[in-house]
Amino acid sequence: MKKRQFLKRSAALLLTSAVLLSGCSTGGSETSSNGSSSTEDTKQETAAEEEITLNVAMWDYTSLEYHSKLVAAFEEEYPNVKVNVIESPADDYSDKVAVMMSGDNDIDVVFIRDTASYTSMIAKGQLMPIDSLIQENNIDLSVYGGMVEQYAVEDSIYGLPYRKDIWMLFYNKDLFDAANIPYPSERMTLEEYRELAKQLTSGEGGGKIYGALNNKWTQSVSNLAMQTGNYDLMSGNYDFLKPYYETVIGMQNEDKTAMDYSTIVASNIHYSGPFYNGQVAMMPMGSWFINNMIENLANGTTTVNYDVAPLPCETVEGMDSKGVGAITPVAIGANTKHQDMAWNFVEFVTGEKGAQVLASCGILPAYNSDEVLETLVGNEGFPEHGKELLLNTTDVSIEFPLGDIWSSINKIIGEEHELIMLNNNSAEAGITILNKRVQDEVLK
Amino acid sequence: MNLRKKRVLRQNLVAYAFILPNFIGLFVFTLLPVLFVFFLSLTKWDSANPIQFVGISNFTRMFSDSTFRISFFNTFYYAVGTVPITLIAALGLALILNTKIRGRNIFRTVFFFPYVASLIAVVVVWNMLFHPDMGPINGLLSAIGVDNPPRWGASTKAAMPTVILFSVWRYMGYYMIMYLAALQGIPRDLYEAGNLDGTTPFQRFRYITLPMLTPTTFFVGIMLTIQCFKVFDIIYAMTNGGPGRATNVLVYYIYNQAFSEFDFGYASAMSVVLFAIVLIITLVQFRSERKWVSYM
Amino acid sequence: MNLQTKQKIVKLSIYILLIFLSLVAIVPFIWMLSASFKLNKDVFTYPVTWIPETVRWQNYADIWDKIPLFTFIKNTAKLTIIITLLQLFTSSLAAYAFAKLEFKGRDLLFIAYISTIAIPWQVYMIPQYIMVQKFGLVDTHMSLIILQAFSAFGVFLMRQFYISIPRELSESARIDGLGEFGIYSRIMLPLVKPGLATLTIFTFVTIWNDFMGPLIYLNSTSKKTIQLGLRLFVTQFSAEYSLIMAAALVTLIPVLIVFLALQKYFVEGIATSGIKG
Repeated sequence: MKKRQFLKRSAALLLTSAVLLSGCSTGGSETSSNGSSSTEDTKQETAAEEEITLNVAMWDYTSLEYHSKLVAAFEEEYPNVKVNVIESPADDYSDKVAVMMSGDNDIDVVFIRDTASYTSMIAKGQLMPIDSLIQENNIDLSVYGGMVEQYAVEDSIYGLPYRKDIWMLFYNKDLFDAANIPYPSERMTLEEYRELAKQLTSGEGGGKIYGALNNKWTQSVSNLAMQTGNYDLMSGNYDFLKPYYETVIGMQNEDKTAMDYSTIVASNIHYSGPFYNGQVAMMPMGSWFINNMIENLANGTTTVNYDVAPLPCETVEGMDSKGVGAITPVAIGANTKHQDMAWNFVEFVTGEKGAQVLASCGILPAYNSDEVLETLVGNEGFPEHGKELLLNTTDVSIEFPLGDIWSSINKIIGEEHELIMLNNNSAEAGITILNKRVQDEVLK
Repeated sequence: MNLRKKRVLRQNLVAYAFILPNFIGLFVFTLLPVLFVFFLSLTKWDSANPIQFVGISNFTRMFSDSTFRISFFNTFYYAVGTVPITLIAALGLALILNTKIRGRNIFRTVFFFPYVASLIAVVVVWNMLFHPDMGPINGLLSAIGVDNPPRWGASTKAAMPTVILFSVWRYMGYYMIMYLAALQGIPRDLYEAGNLDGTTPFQRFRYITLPMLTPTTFFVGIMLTIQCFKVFDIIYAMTNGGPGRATNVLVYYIYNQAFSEFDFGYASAMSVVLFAIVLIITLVQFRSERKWVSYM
Repeated sequence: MNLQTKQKIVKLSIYILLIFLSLVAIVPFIWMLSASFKLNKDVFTYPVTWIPETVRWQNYADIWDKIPLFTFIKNTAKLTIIITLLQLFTSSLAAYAFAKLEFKGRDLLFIAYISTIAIPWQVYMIPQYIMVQKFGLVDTHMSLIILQAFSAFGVFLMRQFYISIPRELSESARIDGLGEFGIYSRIMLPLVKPGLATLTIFTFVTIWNDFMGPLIYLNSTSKKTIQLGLRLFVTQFSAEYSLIMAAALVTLIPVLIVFLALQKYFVEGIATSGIKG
C-alpha cells in the first residue's frame, strides 16, 4: 500500500517535471497565449478561459481504474475542460458507439475497441483524419514502435494509441517448483510447449491441475502463428494454422493437459479464475493480464507467483524480436466542435503523461520510453522477466488485419474455430472448410 | 341516408378517439421507423453515407447466401419446436394451478421465476448445469444408466434442442399467466349448468373450458409464433449462433449484418422477409380464428 | 372408498409433478443464491458446490458500495411505473376500439400494429435513434418512456380480453344511454381486470429487465438502470459473477412483490359478476 502511494507520488513528480520540460511544445492554439514557463501561471491562464465540455466515448470508465485516472489526469492538466464520459460495458461498446455516431452526434473523442468497428467508422466518415495534426505538433510516431502505421487506412492515420497489448506466455512458478521443472525462460516450440504441459498436469476432477489453458478466442490459436509476421488472415488460405490447431486440440483431447474448450465456454469460465486459483500452469494471454495480476495480488484474490515468457511458436528460429499484439487507438469524432481540445485530449492520453498514468496502474502504454517502462516495472507484482521481454519484443505484428472484409472473415473464422475446438470437425477438415467458406462467401 | 352517414362518421370518430393516444406514440416512434425499413430494403446504406437505391438485389442475394439459408431453417426449427411445447406446458400449468390446490400462489410464483430473472444470470447457470462432461444434469443421466448423454450446447446436433428446452423453461410461466387470466373470465354459471347435466370433468374441460379459452389460445399462438420467429436475446446471450452456425437464427443474422457489416439494406430486406412470414402465419391464424375461436 | 383412493392418488401424482417442475424452475435460483455468497473465483468450480464453504455476506454489502445501485433501482422504478401506467391507459383504450367498435380501416390498422411487432427492433434502432436525437431526447428518461409506453403488444393483449366479453352487456348499456367512454370505463374495465393485471406484470417485467433500450439511450450514470448497472461488474478483463448474482437477486424482489400483489386478480370468479345480464 505504502509502496503504491510512493509510486503514485513519483509518477506525479514525473508528470510535473514533464510538464515543465515540455513547456511550450504542448501549446495548441488555446494555451500558447503568452510564453510563461511556470505551470501555475499556465493553469490560472487556462482557468480564466471559457469552459469546455468534451464528450468522450469509452468503455468501462467506472470499473477500470486506469480509465478514470486517465481522464482525471487530463482534467487536472486542463482545468477549464470538463470531460463528459459516455461509457458502456466493453462487450456492448461497439454497438453503442455505432448507434451513437450515426446522426448529428456531438462526440469529440472516441476510444476504439476493435479493428472492425475502427474501419467501419472510417468508411462511414465518422472519424477525423489526424495526419495534419500529427505533423503540426511534431508527434514522433516512432515511440509507438511502428504500430500506428499498421493502423493507417488508405495512407491516413485516424487515431493514436494509448494502450498496447503484447501477447506472452504467463506461467505459474509455484506449479513449476512443485513439479520440479525449470521455468520456461526461452521461447518454446509447439512440441516443447505440449510436452511441458504434460509434465505439469496432475490430479483429477475438481482439483485437477492443468498444464495449460488456451482461452476460447480465435486469437489464442491464431496469435501463435501471427507473431511470425509471415501470414495474412485475410488471404483466404489458412493452412498455416494447422500445426497450431493440431497442438491445441491434441492437448485438449489426447493429452488432456489443457482445459477443455467446452468447459471454458459452456460455463462462462473466465480464464483468470483458474489461473488465480493456481489450477493452470501456463497460459498464452495479452499483457493486460499483468495489470489484472497486479491488482488481484494486491487485494488478495490470488497469491500465485507468476512470470512471463515469449509465446510458443512452430519454429523458434529468427523469432528473437518478434511478437504479436494490438493497440487501442483514440480518435477524434468527425463532428467535433472542439477540435483543438479534442486533439489535446488525444495527445495527452497517448503521450508521455497519459503513458505515465497507465504505467503506474500496470498497464502497458503504447507510448514507449525508458521512464515509462521504469514506472511500469516498478509496480509491485510486475513479473520478473516482463521488462526483458518487452524490451526484446521490438517487431510486433498486429493480431487482426484492417479492412472492410475483415468483419465477415472474422465471423467465419470464429464459427469454424468453434467447430474445431468442440470436436465437430478435425483441425484438417475444419481448415479446409474455412478456406472454402472465406473464398466462397467473402473473396468470391 | 345523410343521417346514417353522419352516424357512421360519428362512430368512426369515437373509435379513432379511443385509438389516438396509443396511435400517436406508436406511429411517430415505431411505425415510421418500421416503414423506413421497408424502404431501406431496396437500398444500400451503412447508416452514415448517402442511401443508394439498388432495386431488388438485396432480395436476390438471399438465394445464394448460405448463412441466410441456414438461419432461415434454424428459425423454423426453433419455432416448430418451441411453440407447441410452450403452449401445452403453459395451458397445463394454468389448469392445474387454477384449481384449489394447496400452495397455489407459491407454485405460480415459482413457475414465473424463470421469466423474471435477468437473462445473463440464468444463462450462466443453465450453461453450467448442462455442461456436457461435468454438469450435474449429465451426471444424473449417467447415474441412471444413460450411456451417451447428449452433449447439449457443445454439439451441432443437440445445440438447438438445448436452446428450445431453455426457451420453454423460460416462457412457460409467462404464458401460464395469460391462461390464468383468461380462465378467470369463464363464467361460473357455465360450469354449474354442466354440473347439473351430470357431465364428467373431462367433458366439462372439452366442451366448456377449451372453447372458452380459444381467444387466448389464438393470442398466445400468434404471440408465441412471432416471438419465436424473432428470437434474438436468448441466442445472443446463450450461444451466439454456435457452435458454428447451428443456432444462428434470422434475427441474429440480421443483427450481425446491421451491426458488424453495417449493411442495413440487406438487414432490412431480410426483416421484410421475416415480416412476410409472420404476416402470412398471422393471417392464416386470423382466418381460422372465425372457425375455431368462439367469441360470445 | 375406491373412488376416494383413486382421487387421492391423482392428487398425489399432481403434487409430485408440480414439485418436480418447481424444482426444475427454481434450481438456477438456488445456484444463484449460493453463488452470491461465494468468493468470485469459487463461483465456477466443478463439481458444482451448492453450499458455499464460507458464507460471504460481504457481497451483499459490496453491491451497494461498488456501484450506485440505489440510484439505478430508483431510475428503473421510475421508468417502470410511468411506462406501465401509460401502457395500461393507452392500450386499454385502443384495444377497446379494436375489439368492440366498428370503424373504417380497422383491419388495415391492425395489420400495421402487428407489423410493428413483427419487424425486429435491431434493424430500425438507428433510424429511431436519429429521430429521438432530433427531438433532443437522448440521455433522458423521456426517450425510453415515449418509445416504450405505446406498444402494439399491449393493445393486442387487451383486445383478446375485451373480445371474450359478451356483446349483450355493452348493447344494454348503450340502450340505457351510456356513451362509449362510459361503457369502457364503467362496464368494460372492471371486467378485464385480469387482463390489466396481466399487462401490468408483463410490462413491469419487460421494462425492469430491459437492457438494450437503456444501453442505447442513456449516457449519464445518474440516469442509468439496473440492467446496465449489473454489467458494471463485467469489465473487459474480468467478471464479478458473485456480485452479479447478489445484485440480480436483490433487484428481483420488487418484481416478485408486484407479482404477488396482483395474484388476487387471478383467483377464480372475480370476472363472473354481471355476466348474467
